Amino acid sequence: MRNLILVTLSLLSLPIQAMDTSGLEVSLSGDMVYSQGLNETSGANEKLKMRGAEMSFFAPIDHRFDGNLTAAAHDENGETVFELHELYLASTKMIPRSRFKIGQYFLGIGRINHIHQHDWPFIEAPKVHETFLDEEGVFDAGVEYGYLLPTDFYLDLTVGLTSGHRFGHAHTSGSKPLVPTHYLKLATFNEFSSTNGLLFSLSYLGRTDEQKNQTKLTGAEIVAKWREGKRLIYQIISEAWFRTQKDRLESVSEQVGLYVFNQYGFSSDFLLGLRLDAFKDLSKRNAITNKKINNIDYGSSLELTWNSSEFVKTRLGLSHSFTREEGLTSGKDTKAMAQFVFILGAHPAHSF
Amino acid sequence: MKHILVLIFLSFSFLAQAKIKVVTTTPDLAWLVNQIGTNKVEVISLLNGTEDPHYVDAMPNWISKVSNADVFCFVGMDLEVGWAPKVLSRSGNAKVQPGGKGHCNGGKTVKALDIPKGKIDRSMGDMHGEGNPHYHLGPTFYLQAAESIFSTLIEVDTKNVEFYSANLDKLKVKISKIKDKVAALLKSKSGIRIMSYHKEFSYFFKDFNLVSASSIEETPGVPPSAGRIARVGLQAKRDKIDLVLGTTANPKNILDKFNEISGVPVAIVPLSIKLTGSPSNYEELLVNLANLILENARE
Repeated sequence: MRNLILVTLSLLSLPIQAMDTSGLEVSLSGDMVYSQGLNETSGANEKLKMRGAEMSFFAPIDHRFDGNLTAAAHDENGETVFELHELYLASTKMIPRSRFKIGQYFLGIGRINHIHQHDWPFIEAPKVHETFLDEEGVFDAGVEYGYLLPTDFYLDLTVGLTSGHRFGHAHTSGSKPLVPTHYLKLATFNEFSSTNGLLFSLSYLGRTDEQKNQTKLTGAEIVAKWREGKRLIYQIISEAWFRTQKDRLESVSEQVGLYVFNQYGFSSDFLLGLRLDAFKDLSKRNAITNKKINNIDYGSSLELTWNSSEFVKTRLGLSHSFTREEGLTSGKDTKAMAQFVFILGAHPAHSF
Repeated sequence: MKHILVLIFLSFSFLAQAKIKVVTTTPDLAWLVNQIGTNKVEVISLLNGTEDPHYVDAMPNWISKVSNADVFCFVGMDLEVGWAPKVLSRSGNAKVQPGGKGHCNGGKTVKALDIPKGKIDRSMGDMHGEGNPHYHLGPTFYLQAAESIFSTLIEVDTKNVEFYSANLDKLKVKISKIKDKVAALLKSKSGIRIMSYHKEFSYFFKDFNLVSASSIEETPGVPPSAGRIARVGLQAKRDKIDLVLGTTANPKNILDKFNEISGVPVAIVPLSIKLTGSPSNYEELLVNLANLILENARE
């Protein structure tokens, strides 16, 4: 990893002239989060955490291919861990209506999994995302292919196959799975006007690890936006996921969760968002009686975002989550949060 | 066999009549393409003329439209940098992506105004390093962009070079007449000093010999502070500025406040041709703009 840092620093020290002729664009982002516990059982770490320092390099490699390298440093329990997030070769010019990438990348499923964490519209991952797709998102090495179907309306299919040696956040090389990670996403869009519309997608992911533990994830995404000039008047983002896991003894466990995020823009700079989370373990059983436990996790967070510009975000949030089992509250976490995000250098164009 | 031959013949005749599919970002570019391509092109504009092209999302339905295009024309000078690259790459259409024959950057042939001098960085706001992208309001500069469109069309449709060339010549005459008409309208106001909210009218001022007296915005793309509005308002009052031009995309409350402080009349004008409603063509756009100046500027 030290070598990667050296390469990164070497690239940064290249003369500007050289960067211009190659089209190399460099983006550096900083993401800092402070959380303050407001009840005794809060898990807030009560310090300003350097959650992520990300470096991205992207450019056309030649007339057909593009390249991308993204590495990030994270604070993990007080230790700064530097890791490669994305390194891939891509093309959108070789096969009509198609795009593909080969290498390591965040898997193109759901909504926020393939958006870098500092670009999320809220501070922390929703419970369902954190449980199924990890705190930041799932990245892996493989190939992803996207095809825009030749229909009168927008219909886009993404399929991918990755090694599946590991799934989610891990600092080990993992082990060879019986069935590698495979996934698909089908997205469509309904236009309300030239700047407003609704995106809907369905995702599926499957994997069977070395120990014959089979995972299947099915999800749906909805994003609707109303924009007027620079001001985002209102947006709603929601994802619902269902997970089935079967172990080698054919024991099945199922969980389901969703979040709904509503955001209203008072002006082009200030936005107020409210996210509601729900998560249920459909298979949770009492260890003694083996009877199913009626359980649910709820969460809500209210967040005020100030966009000084596209490149600086300050966010203040108040979140409350609790876990209930058999009608009793078994855990509560109330905390206040602050997030500071900035981006230096280039920034790729945004998707809807 | 006879049926197959008929089918082949019909297919060829269909191909011979197939129009060049052009997607433009703005209706202003669509108008230019229609003038040069006439019945040999089928033009779609992604924006309808009411939006602020700086700030829109890469709408997924635009990706579908661009995926079927032979030509993609954009204003350039970083106006659409926040969304057009995403639309192009997601379309998977090599013809219209950078390097493709159908990639048409209108701004490439424009002699840009307001090119920042020296080192620029983001503390200076939304700076366009290649110059001011609102060239369509200056007929001379708009015609320069037409050269890019012409070059792209003859590259994509080599059989019709003369046809496009003849149409370009007609367009030059047409725009020249429009320029003369607008100049005649504004003759009585020659030399008046006009401010704008944002620097959208530099090319218009240059072409019609109007004096641009700065803008209300201090930093491009950043709403001015209350202090800035007061300072620039008082200065405008002292300097006896004749008019302030704003567009529907500019914040109305700031323009109203400026008017209250300075007493300078404010005219809200359309910035673009509209797909539906008025102004529906280039002549109407410029004549409307000139008339609004005549109606609102101080005597």
